[in-house]
Amino acid sequence: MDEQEFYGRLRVDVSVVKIWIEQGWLVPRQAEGRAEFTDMDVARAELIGDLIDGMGVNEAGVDVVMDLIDQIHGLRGTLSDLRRALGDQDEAIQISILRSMGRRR
Amino acid sequence: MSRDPYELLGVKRDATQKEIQSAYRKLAKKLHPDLNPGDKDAERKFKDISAAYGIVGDEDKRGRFDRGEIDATGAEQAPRNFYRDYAGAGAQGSAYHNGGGFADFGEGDDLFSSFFSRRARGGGSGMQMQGHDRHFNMEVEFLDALNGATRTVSLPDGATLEVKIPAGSKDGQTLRLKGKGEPGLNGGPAGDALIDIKVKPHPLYTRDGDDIRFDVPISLREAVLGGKIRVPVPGGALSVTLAPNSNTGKVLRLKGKGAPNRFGGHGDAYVTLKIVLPDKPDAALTDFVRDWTAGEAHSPRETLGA
Repeated sequence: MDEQEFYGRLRVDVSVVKIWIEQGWLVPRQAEGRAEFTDMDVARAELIGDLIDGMGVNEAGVDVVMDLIDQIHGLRGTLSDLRRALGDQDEAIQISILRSMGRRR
Repeated sequence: MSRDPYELLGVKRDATQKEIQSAYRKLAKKLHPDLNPGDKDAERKFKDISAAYGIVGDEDKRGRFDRGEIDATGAEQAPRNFYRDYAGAGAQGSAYHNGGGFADFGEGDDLFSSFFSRRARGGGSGMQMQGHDRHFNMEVEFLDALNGATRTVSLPDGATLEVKIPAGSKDGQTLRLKGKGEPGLNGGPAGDALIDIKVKPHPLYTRDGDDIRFDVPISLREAVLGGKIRVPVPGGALSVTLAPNSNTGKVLRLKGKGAPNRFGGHGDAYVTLKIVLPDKPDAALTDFVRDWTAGEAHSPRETLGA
């Protein structure tokens, strides 16, 4: 979606969203010199709005929270791929991995 | 939402607007689905408190609710997707991908490291891809594996690859040469060359982990009287003192004379003594043994029942 539609879907002032983009909290894709937004960007902008309005988090706090949330999703994605790959293995291998993990605790 | 909004937010009915806001913020920080990406229940709980706050967080609506003009369902919100629904579905390769939470997992030398480093860079989505690894087998002389060496491997495309065999390499070990595999896709890094090492047997020495084992022949005189003998260890010979009456099968441990290990130390050498008679029969020895009466009573197979 283009900028117009994106701002229309958010109940936030355009100037505010522009600051979020400047801060790097939102990264629209550039297509032919124009910013393109996805549903993912809408959900992300709503989360930023929740942090600021709903929870009273300040600018520095949003910076930290968004960075950590991105890291958590990176970790979750990797962990879920690993879990699926482990699930593809023979049961004996899965048991051996579980035992090995238990020893490291 | 059907429960009482005051109850849901945990505030008294006469709470100030400021107290209600503060109660809502506390709960939102705890229950927001994007701050609890793995908790399926968080969405319902967050929607409940948001709806409650939608009523009593607004002074005007709160008044109407208190007077009974609207009920607790008066502030149901439009359905909404949370960020976690998208980020969980594959932030890999998106502008928001952040592998900082595990980038250090990619620093090791094991097979999984390259998986993590690839993920940390945001690969795996069809964007930049690391090239495939190439596998090679290499036969290495026993002493080259022990002491370390540099060997050249010829690749199928005619190119050559210089391979440094680290001192202490073991049979079946895989060496990884970073970036010497297939080229990457879309500017991604090249894969690695994986070289499986096969260590050739040695006529004298055998490897047992970081230790080395071998037999050393000793003469009858050395066995009976003891004394200094020279023992050939890899890379030279050592003087070792034998105790008198050192039998065949006795094992001597030469500390630190084994293979180098990856912790910077060395394994040990275990030497098994083997008594060897002279090649040609010696008349004096034969006479002595014949007349040696104590020898007749010595029965080394007694415990074997023979």
